[in-house]
Amino acid sequence: MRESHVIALRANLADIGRLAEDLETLGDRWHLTARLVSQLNLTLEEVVTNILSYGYDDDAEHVIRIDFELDDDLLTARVEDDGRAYDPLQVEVPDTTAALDDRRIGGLGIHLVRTLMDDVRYARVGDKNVLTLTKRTGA
Amino acid sequence: MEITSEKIEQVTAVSIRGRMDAGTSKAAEEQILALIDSGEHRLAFDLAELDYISSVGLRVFMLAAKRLKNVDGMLVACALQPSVAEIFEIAGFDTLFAIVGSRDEAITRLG
Repeated sequence: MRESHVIALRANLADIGRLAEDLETLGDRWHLTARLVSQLNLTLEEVVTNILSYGYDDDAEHVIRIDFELDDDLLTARVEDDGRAYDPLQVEVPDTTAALDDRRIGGLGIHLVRTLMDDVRYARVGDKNVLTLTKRTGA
Repeated sequence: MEITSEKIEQVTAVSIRGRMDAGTSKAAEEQILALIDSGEHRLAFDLAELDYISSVGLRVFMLAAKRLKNVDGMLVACALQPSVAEIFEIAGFDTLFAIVGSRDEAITRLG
């Protein structure tokens, strides 16, 4: 059984807020657990926030496209943006055992994404960044 | 996102309700750091009604912990929902400050 859905977000903070609602709706429709929806929300929030932080040097409106696919129990989210080439996976892994004084926040978002998702891949396709995230729903 | 606080002898119990995400964490940061700067240095964060936290939210806790350390203060987090507890664990926050089950436990630890 295969389902698909697309979300197009404008690259700004307000639309990140909308993302949470859209994912709740998708979760209901596809019978995803609340936990999975929460993990997906966090993952996509981190990814989209990174795109906003690093992707653009102009004031033009940019769209981030997220294609979702559910193939039996395999959920895939493919995030595509037209920002400059940026691989979020190249970020240094944070030391999550460091003492308080040595603790840095950098890299924590991507660390969460990598831990929560089963697989994360980056590709530069033409003038687009494409991040593909997959997770088994356990259904 | 809503933050309320209550003074219980030496301890301030701070309840955070709703979501700490890219849209709400700046406000949370301002309120919490203001509380610390106003002299409240023993903070019990009651997260029973915190439904969601992303890395911007985690940053707020890290900043609070650092600022409290500078003034010989302390923070304990309690009553985390399972999805939030998972995030704190992945981030390694259990080695930064105590995370306990109940508000009472948190207040006892801080008192």
